[in-house]
Amino acid sequence: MSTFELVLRNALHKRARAVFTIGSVVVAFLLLGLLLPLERLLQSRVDLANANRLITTHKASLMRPLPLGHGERIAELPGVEAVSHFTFFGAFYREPGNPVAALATEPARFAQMVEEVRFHSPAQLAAWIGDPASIAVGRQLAQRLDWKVGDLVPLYSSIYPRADGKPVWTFRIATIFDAAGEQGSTDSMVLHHRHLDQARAFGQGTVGWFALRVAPQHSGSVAQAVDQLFARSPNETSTVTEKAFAQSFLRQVGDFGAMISLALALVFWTLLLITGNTMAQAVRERFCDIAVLKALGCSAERVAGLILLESLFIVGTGGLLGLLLANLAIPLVAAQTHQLLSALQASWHDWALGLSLMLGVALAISILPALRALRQPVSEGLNEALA
Amino acid sequence: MNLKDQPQGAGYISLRGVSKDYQKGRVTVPVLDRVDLEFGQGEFVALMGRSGAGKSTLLNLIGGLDQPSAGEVWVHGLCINRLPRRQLSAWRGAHVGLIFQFYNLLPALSARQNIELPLLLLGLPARERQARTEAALALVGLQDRGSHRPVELSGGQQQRVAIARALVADPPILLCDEPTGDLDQANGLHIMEILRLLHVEQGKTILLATHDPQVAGYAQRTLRLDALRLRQGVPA
Repeated sequence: MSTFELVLRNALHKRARAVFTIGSVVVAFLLLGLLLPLERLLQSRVDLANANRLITTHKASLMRPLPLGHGERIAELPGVEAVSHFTFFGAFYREPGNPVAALATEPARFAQMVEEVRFHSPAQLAAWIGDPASIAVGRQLAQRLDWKVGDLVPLYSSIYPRADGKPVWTFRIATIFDAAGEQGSTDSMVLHHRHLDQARAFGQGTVGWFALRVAPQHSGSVAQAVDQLFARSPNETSTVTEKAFAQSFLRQVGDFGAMISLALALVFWTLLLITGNTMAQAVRERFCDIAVLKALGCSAERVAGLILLESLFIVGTGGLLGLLLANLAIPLVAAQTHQLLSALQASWHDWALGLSLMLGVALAISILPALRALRQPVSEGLNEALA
Repeated sequence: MNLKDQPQGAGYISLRGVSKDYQKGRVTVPVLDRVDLEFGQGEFVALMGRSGAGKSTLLNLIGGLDQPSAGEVWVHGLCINRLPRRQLSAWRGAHVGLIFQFYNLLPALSARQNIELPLLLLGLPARERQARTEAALALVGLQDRGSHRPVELSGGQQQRVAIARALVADPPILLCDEPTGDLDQANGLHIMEILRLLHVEQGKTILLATHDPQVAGYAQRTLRLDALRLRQGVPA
């Protein structure tokens, strides 16, 4: 028998209790392993936002369109290097439960301004720019829906009905693009704004928002100049950096970072209460056994060490199992939840934080039982057998 | 006084003016009052007296499980009640074997693992631990029950495991607190026969607390305790 086996046997002596306690630890660390990558993914989308790009939206709301003509006036402002625009298409494929991220834009400007995507074939890129009814599709979306260059794709729009009354928008896939960086998502598609504008039933001559390329040192003055240009007009604007735009977009759903932190804090507080109570009860029930250990020559400090090891075993087993399950679940979650979560990935950072938390929880829940075991006189513990 | 500066003419185990009081709420209950006692090396002594007379308290003090309220406990030239806590634990593990009325085996461990435990605490290598454990199991006649847990053993078998555990580290002193108190007569006599052999063949110093005159009859001499004072008894 080794010290580890002694710890193991004590920890698993009451099997049902040990299983339930380890189970609660598994759930807590499973949540940790799922929520940390989610928080990182959402944060990375903000981080990826380019500081040399500004976004101009309607001052009242992102959902209010802006006149297309604003773009030409913005482009004339000093410090503005290039201007493009985007409009949500609200696409879904075959059924409403199968949404597809689709934006309408000017293809030539898109290829020029958006550095996060890469087109491999200049010929295909040219074909896309030249054909208003064609689309460029991201690699992840093409793989997910088994689309190829040349395919005709029928799509529905939850925002824009066609002016001719037909329910389906049909596009030909002209090219497939990849992400320039490792973390970029390509679960999306881009269509011609000109085509959308001509065929839609309403909203002609408007766009969702403008994207401006500027020199980073001029971003503040350009943003101010754009908003001043349209001040007191029917379509006042709000110009912010792309990072701020991404953050405000996420905040429309909620402050994810704060929500995730709060959820994890509550989970781990509950875990501390459950495992702390279990450990205290387990040690209280074994006061006589602890007194026997001391009577056999085990120092009080070593007894405290055994209690800590027992806590570490319970929390460590559950924690490692939970993180492992999270790592197995992440690719499944990413595959099932398209677009936003498709780039969900585990990281060694999660394991490092998880291991630190395991150690912290084990220490926290063993302090009180260990102190009590340290102070308990041997004769008093032995007398409990007689009680 | 130095830890090893034992008074001249003292025995193997000496109690010098030892008192022990317990605090029960606001009331102080004296159990032993200025007791002077000597036990020789290799002696087998029975401690008798009514419940609360201080038999277990005396054993606890000699085993270093409890501290005297006053006085000194000397064992083989060492004042054990002045040893630091950690040193006292190590000393007890190497020098004292304890046998309790209710066996006090760890329920999560098998008989073999219970016996091995003191050796693990002493830090002996695995091979030596295994050899000594098997020898101790054989000594108490339980070679075939080593893998059983305490709940799977009878009272007599559990007490034999407890004796094996007390012996496995080969301590010179055995402190037995009512070792037959929870056993039927046949099992009790079996246990006493084992203790007698340990005394005769291995020269262990055995101090045994009991209510039973028949059990006390196995000892070389008997000490009778009454509350507060300790009276020298009649040799067995």
